[in-house]
Amino acid sequence: MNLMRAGDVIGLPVVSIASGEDVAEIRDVVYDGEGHRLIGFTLNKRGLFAGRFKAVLPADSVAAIGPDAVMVDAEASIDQGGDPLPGMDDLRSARPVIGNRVVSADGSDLGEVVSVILSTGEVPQAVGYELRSADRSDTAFVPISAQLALSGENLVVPAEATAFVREDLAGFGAAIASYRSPALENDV
Amino acid sequence: MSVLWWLLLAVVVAVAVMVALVLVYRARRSGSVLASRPTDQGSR
Repeated sequence: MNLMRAGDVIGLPVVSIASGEDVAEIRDVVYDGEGHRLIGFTLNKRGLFAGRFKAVLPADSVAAIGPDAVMVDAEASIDQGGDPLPGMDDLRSARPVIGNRVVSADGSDLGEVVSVILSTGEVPQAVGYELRSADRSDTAFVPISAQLALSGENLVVPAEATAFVREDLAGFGAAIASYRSPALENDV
Repeated sequence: MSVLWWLLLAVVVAVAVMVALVLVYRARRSGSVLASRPTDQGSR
């Protein structure tokens, strides 16, 4: 399982496999707050002082997400029609999650979201949050295969998720697999 | 004295313009991670 911080995707060039050219730059990463599937990206134009690109990049049109670039088959993969992304009525309904507090269903404050962890496999999706503790002394990773509420201030995760909190990204992939095992999902 | 005063003013203005350009650049290009609820896909 390839894991990436969503924040590391922001600013990456969008490169056309057909032409080899940079066609845009990632601005916002948008995912489904309920099902966690990656919906797509809003874009910036290329250039030092260039602003926002009206066009958007649906996740279905992405060929690969790598550490240095987001690859698309051709420049035509970018939806020139602009907002909203597929499956969304309005991009303004999307809420920023960085800085939100994560609270478990049993009332434990797990920390503040500093990044969203993406799985960049065949179906890219958000699989966890990177959290900073209340005293800002350390970070941890919590899986999000299920989420109970998304308010714009607090994200509520099931109490069971707290057992799968990990302190490093390397061990987090295994924790996600365990957390999402069918046996556990039947129990939840 | 007068020339020095104008030079100082020019430096202050130049720095202010540079700071403004950096702030505009950052505001225009800064991105975020957004969570949404699609209307016809992805629901569990």
